[in-house]
Amino acid sequence: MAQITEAAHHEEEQNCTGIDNRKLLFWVFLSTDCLFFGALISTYMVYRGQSLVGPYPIDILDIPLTTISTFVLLCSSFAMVMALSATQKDDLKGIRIWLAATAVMGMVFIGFQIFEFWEFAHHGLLISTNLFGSTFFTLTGFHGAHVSLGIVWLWVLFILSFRGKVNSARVLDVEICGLYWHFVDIVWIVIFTLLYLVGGFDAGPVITG
Amino acid sequence: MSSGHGNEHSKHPSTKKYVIIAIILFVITAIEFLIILPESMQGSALAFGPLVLLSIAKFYIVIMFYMHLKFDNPLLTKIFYGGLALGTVVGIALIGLYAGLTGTPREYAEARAVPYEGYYAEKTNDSSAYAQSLIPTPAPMTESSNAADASTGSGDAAAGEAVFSGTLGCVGCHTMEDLPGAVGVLGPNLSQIGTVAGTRSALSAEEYIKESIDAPTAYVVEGYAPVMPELRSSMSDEEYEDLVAYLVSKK
Repeated sequence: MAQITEAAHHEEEQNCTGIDNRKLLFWVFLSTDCLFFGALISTYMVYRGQSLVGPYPIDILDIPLTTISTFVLLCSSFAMVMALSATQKDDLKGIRIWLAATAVMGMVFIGFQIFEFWEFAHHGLLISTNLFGSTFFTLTGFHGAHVSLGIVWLWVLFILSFRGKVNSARVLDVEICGLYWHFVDIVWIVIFTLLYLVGGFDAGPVITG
Repeated sequence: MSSGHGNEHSKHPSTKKYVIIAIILFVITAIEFLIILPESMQGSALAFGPLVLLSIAKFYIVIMFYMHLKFDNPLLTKIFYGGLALGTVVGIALIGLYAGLTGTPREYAEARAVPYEGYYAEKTNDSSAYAQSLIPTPAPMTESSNAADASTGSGDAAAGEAVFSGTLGCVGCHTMEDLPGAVGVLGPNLSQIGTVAGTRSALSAEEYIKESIDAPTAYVVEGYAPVMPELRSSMSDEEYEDLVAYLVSKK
């Protein structure tokens, strides 16, 4: 018990703002990551409809399929909050189930993305094909890299749970991982809307929506 | 700022609330999908507003409840909104700056972009007018024999030269040896096109030249990329006939 209270004490390394240092730092990071994705998304929007050769978005984007993978990512965000909730309750079984569920759903999402990239390559769209290919692969590729990092992070927490290192005294470890995971989810909400639902029907230089 | 740890957690939503939030997010995504399901809404300006509003709603729900900004120290919300606002404003400024370039990049793309044929070739049952326009229509036999006899057609070759060297930009990509300035190398040399054209396919010289203008990628000479833009719609019928007559005369 003494150990746990000591750990809890370490958790709460606060500064003059009253917020834990790690949590504050992480929110600053997420804030700057908004700029990163903001730049990539604006670049996509600037170059929309300026590809000189196909395939164009309408030729290859599979919107129903991407809607399914969007659902999967939303589901994984729910699993993530459940994992945090289980951590607060010291429900070890719940922690493992929900962490694994989150990671597996993240992997399914990445699986969809690999399939999508593969299909695009077979339709002749590579990162060097046209402006659509360059901006699309750069943006969704960096998002996929974020998701992949999150998956590794989740599995690390999953393994740590077997060493008794995931519990209510160390709830911040799970909370920060969760913040990252939800951030990746909201970035996808923006990408899905702008690239697929709004810009997914662009044909050649004719932009729509 | 003395909110303790336990106290803070008790403010987090309950499991039941998390489930309700998940269902709301699901429903919003389903609505978004249904909005763009009718073909008339696909890429429609009407869909843009609702789609953006719905995704902002999802965004807000996730950061407020799943990332519990609503229950956390307000400073965190300010930090996040700061980055978000900066990213958004810079993005809008960039798009505005680009759009402000008197539309030049867009016009450039509109004049030069070529249709992607692979997709339409795959969807053979796609009977849209556009797909059909890409399939060269064989001219009736009588017309073709007429055209072969009266090789000048109805156009004026001298006027056609002006079309060729004019604003369409033909000379940028095609070489014409007796025409100063026509030294482009992106497309085939057209100095003897009146002779060569009849040998390229089953079509007569005039038909072949017309096909090459109507559907530039229907037949692509070996060694060249299928990059010629569709320019038929950029010229009048008279200019078109003149241009064809000019090219046919190049023997």
